[in-house]
Amino acid sequence: MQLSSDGKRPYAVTSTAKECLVDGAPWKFGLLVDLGSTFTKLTVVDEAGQLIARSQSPTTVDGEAIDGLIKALGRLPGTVRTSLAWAMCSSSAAGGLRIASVGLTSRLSGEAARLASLGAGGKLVRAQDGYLDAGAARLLLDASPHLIVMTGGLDGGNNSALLHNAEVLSGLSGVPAFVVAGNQAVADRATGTLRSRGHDALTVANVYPTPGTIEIGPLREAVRELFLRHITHAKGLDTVLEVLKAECEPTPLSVSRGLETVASQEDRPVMLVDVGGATTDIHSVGGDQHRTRGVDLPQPMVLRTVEGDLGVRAGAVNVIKSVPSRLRVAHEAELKIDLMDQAEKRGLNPRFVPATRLQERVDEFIARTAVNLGIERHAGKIIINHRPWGTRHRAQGKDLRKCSLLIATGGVFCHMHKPESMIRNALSDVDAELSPTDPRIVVDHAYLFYAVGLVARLNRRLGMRMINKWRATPAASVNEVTY
Amino acid sequence: MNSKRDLLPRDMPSGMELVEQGRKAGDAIDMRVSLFCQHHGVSSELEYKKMMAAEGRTMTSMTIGFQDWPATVRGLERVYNECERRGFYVDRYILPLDRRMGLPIEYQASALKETGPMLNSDADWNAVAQAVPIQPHLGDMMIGSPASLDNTRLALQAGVNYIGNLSQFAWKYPGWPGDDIDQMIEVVKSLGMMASKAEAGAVVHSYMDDGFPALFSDYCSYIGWARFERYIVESLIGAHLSTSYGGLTHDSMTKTTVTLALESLRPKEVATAFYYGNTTRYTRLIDKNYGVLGVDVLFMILADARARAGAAVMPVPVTEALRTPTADEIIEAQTIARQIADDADRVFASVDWGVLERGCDRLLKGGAQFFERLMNGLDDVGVDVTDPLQLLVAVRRLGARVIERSYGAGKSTNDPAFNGYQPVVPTDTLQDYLTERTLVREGLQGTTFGSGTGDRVVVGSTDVHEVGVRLVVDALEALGIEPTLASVGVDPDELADLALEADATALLVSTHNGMALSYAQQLISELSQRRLRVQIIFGGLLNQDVEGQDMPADVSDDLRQLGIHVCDSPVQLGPLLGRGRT
Repeated sequence: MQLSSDGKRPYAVTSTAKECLVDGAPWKFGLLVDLGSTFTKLTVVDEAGQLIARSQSPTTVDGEAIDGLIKALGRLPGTVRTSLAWAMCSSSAAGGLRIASVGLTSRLSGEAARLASLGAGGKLVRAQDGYLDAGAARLLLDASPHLIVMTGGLDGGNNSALLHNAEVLSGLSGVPAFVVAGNQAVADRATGTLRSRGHDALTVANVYPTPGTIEIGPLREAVRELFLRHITHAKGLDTVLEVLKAECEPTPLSVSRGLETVASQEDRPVMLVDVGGATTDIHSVGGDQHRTRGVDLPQPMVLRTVEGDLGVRAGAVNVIKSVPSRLRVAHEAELKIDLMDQAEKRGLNPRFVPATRLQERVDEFIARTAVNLGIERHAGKIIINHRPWGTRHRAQGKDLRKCSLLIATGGVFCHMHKPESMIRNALSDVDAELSPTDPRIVVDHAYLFYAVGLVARLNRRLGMRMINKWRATPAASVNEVTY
Repeated sequence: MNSKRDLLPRDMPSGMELVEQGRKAGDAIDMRVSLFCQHHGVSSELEYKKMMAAEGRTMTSMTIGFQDWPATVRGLERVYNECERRGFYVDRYILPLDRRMGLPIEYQASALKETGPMLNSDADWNAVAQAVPIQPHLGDMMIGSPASLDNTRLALQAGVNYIGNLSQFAWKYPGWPGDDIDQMIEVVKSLGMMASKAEAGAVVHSYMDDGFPALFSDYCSYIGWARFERYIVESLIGAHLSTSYGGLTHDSMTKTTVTLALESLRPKEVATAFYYGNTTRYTRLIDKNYGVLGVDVLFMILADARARAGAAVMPVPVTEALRTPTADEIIEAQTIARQIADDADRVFASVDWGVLERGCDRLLKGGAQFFERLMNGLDDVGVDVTDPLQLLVAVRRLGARVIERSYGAGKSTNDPAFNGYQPVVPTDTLQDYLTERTLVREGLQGTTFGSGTGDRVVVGSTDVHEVGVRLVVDALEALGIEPTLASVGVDPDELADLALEADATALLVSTHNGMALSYAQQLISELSQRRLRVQIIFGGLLNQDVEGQDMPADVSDDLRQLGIHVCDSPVQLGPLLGRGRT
């Protein structure tokens, strides 16, 4: 199939990404598409990992995803547009991939399910633990998840919870898919129960197989597969994927993989802060954990946390609500402005772009607070518990103090005056003992990481080459055309 | 094996530059002469020790540290006066400080109090070497801690000459925001400071049994490790080092052999700080402990005489297994040691030193292999073996068990009892464990597991004691059960959650921290909230601290009333398991 933005200049993707990146078919340019909820972003890369061009266009809210893609493609230089060999795609359109999780205990398998769901690129819309009853099942359904991740029981341990919960959930209608990632002794039986009632369900390795371990890799792959099978269809992405000869995965999963590619070149942990309009995502790779006990659930090496209530547009009101009143009053006095009023305006207009220095400063304040809170909730803390049987010092979470590189991405940084110093400032008063102390801060102006992550899934070396080019000139301009 | 990339970051400062910084800071320090040294007309403890070694006089040492510094001073005065009345004197005292002293002062307030006094003011520091004519020794929370440099300076200024404890370099300090590299930077600087005062008698102290050697299973590894520390402190940094040892070895022949091997590594110009009395053979039966004390002290005195080490013998009061010994209990132990010292000369000639020295040669050979393999291994992975900072950080990150398994003189083995390493000369700690394990296995022979197959056992400890958990795991494996490990320091709610995930049929709880009853009550409540019916078995020291009483009360009967099975020995596990559920 061919695409044309004006009906006159046809351009086409000639091969699949696998044919070029794995099987070695020759190619000139590859296209990386991110179908975001606000913008459709395109990045074009060559075999050397050089960014050739970028463009973006608003994702149409009411229309078809294909419209935004066609507009963005139309903004690429003609020579580039006509030489695209392959394409890959990520999507967070229409609020992203909604996942609900079910575990047995909140501290162990339940937490493992939540961490794994986030790590698979999902938006966690509901978490229930224990033996579900009809009320709990209703709460899960009310959250309208695209898929439910089910865990429970160590391998060879508790089997009744997984089987019971599968039985309860098999009666639900309206959940497109399930992943069963619990006790392997009964996981297939639980999956069978779900399938017998007409649900699509996959069994993967237990996310919490033995004390002190967490395994999220297989779950990530299963979520990716189900996303492709159900959710892209539900979101009307089929046409886009057909013309691009591409598969599609959740954008946060691509971004995480992009950060993993950077991390493979660093001695120390790396982080990425993605401040969006509605949410703030924090990814980290690496980071020591003080973990010596079987009853501790470790953090996954690749950790993603999502602050679903914090953002610079739809989430701005929540950000302002979380600012201590003393601080808010001081800022309002300094800026001579009502911050809540400003936040509400941004909430009503997700495409708001600051036009004055004052509006920029309000954006800076909102973004700074989102970064501060996001990192505070992501990084590890020292917890002291005074118990009758002794005082316990526990380090919870990841030790990111020696984080060497913090990457900031998101449109808000691109419009900002000195975003690096704003981020350093936000870091300085993070209330988490194990948060980064002195990382190098780099703003990802090119919005590169989804693209690196997409590429790295099939061809790690090309992903590394993209990173190396970016490291050499992180702020280098490319042929960029925006709307 | 790790690569350097895994072990060390690229941007570490130069260790030798840190040594130089420490030396410069040391040059500005005036070392005060202690009351004890003034009393004996010497300028340093090292000078005094050499004098005593030449005279053939046995020195003694004591550990004394009460709730706070004023109480400790009162104890010191009591010991000094009473010993004087009895016609002898104690040469030196070891001050066991609160762990908070290892933190820079700005972090001390927010850290939690542990046992031992603090030195909070200049007046406290000034009194350390001036309160009584007994020479102070500062080991705990000094060199090795995040506050290494400041504490070393304060100690030198106060008139303390033997400052350690380098073996504590791998200890962690709750409340310290830095990481292992930051901590080792302070250690290396403080070693540089000690080097600047070597001529004046400053000696770095290391007590093997507080560090990696305590985790080794082979005495050859002890010797190899001592060589490694000497290489760093003496060859690279140029400070004096004293290596002390003793608390964890109860076999007097072995202890003498290891002591002689360690002493053969000591340069002649240095005297050893102390030999520590054995603490592992003491029981709650005090009468027996007198016997342990007598033999132990005699052999320590003989070893010191043989090696002309200038070491002070450290007799451990017989009540040490029960409580912090009182001043009078310390005086008693010192009196016994002094009496043995007076009689030891006559025993010396009857000892077959040839046998002991042959054992010593074997240790030295194994120790040399350990040292060479360790150095080559570090070199192979790219660690700069001339940089003290890189060496300390690398070995700390590798850990004692990996180091012994990778570089020890013994062989690798698949026997789970040995953690992958078959020692040349097994430590007493390992031998005790093996003996206990054999007893458990013999006791379990012919026992069948009551509730049959399919049962799942979760094992956890309420405190940090690992040995009890290890023995229980061994016993279960002998019964054909592979337990689920909750590890050590586990709270009741955590244990109950793991029991639910594991679908446990039995929970085995090891406890030693004087809170058996309150822990059990909370555990039962947590299990009940989860609607779990599971057999609970408690073992260890089943007591509970009671307000107003010196000694914790035994709560075995209270536990039984709660439906908990009380297990005195892992041997009883076979019959106990499957006997019923609470």
